[in-house]
Amino acid sequence: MSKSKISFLSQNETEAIHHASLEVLESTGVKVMSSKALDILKEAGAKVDYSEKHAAIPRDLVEEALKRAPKTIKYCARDPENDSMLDGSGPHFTTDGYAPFVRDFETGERRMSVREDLVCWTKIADYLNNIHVV
Amino acid sequence: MNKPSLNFLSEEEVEKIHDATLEVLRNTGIKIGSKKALAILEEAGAKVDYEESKALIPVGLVEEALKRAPKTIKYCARNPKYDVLLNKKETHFITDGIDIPFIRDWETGERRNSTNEDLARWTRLSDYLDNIHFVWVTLAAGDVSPKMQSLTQLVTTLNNTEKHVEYEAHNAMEAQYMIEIASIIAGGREKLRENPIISAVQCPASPLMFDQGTIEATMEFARAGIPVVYMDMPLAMETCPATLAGTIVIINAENLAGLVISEFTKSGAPVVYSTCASIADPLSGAAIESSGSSLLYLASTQIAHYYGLPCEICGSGSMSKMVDAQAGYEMAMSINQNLPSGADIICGLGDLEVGLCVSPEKLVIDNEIVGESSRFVRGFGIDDESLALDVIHKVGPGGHFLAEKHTLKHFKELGHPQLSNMNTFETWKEEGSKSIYGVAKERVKEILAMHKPEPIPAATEEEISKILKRARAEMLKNN
Repeated sequence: MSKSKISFLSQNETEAIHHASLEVLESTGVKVMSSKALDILKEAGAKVDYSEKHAAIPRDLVEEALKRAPKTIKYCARDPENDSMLDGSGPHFTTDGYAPFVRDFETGERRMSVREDLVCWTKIADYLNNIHVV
Repeated sequence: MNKPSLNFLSEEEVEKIHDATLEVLRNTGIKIGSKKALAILEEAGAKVDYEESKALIPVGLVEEALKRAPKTIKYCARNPKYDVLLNKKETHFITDGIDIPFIRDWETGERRNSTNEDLARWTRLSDYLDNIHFVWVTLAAGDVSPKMQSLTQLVTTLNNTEKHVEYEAHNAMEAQYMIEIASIIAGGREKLRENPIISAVQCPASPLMFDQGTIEATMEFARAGIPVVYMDMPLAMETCPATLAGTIVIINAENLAGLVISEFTKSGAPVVYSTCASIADPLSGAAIESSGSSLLYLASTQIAHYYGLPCEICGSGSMSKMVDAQAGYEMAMSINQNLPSGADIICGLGDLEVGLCVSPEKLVIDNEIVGESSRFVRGFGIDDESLALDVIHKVGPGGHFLAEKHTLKHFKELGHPQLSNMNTFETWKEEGSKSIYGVAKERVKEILAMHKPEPIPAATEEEISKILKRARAEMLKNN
């Protein structure tokens, strides 16, 4: 149970952001650098400009996508005890990602990371109980 | 516009705590070490047992006191530009206090006894830092004779900051001298009542007790119009039940009992609801600052504001012995947890060892943390201008916003850290691989070299010297 929770946008403000976003998708559009992805959008009903790699996405596509999307997602683990449910009940913490440098495990010096560092790092993250996903 | 805020008790839960508190005041009662305070309560209608120094306070008295209490309190300053309004809308941060015996040396960083000169420098530093809204008399003047320490510390602090000064009086006589000194600076007793440049933190002795000196001092302050902060220091598991809810009942009972005494001493006396609650460490018995204490601060603020009273909490502090990662994360955690409560005052900046020692470098770092956290609780507004549809459309997919007028107009609202290093590793290394401690140390030196707050005028200081001389004679006579 997470009882202390900060939320600050009112319902009206959240809706204002939603409508502004729909307006951007419909009028300003998005650039999509893949013809395959543009094909999918076009077939679904978006207005696509292949030479500009540009798609204008109407609001009913967004509404339909939101309907289709699962509202709960399971992040499974090799050991099912570590499965995480993404269901809005609270955040799961993960390590940071994609870093090229590590502070050496012995000397503390900053150096390029190697495969063995990733092994040691992952073992530590596996042990720590507030790291839910690596 | 909504701001990020953190209130976790439901209205029903607040009312349950209120009812439980009234029950404690009516049935369990309060011990008060002062006949004068007991007499006031008796006259107001409380059931008083003078032999046991105890009063049972009926519901009607609490309700009447809540009616009499002002819901907005002005903390004035020597320089009116630093006046602060406690109106439950903004949070003000202050240094840690009071009479802290140790300081980390300005040069060597060694832990040593503090002196009057340390207090003067510390106060000048606090006067400069813009996220410190007023000053709690922080350090003990360890080189001054014990009897005269309190008044000397008050004068040193007032002389080195133009901001409001919060303090404490140990007994009625000390309170009278404090009022006399402050009224000379303010331009008379009536001026001081209108513009209180000092306030007093007076501590109930948990559980459910007031010492004679403390409570008789608050009665002097009530009569003089000096705001009193009833800051109790309960320790869950020792001086309070092990449950946080039970601890809140004690905090609330002590605050309401204090309020009743103040309001029946002088109707309309300015009173700030307060607590410095913490949790006992089950192994050592020592007070620990933890998420548990933050929950007590959040709940206390919610209850104080339910009554309409301004609230001060000790919502920033560290147990660390030095300025290290522990000091940094404990400060950031406590400030971030407690600031969204919306408390009117949060004290504790600059402290180490749960308020037994201070560090100038840490004060500068804490000032930075407060700046960032304050940006967080300001939130942001949502309207056509801020939603920025026009500029988003103009820039379009794949473009950038740097050259836009809209960007120039609004970028400052994003906030910008002053001390944190945001450079790449290479640049940071070229500039000397400085730790935040090193950066803060340089900043302290810069500030002290350039910042000179306006001192108390010479003629006024002369008057104050006379008062101090008289106080010394009277205090020695009473010895």
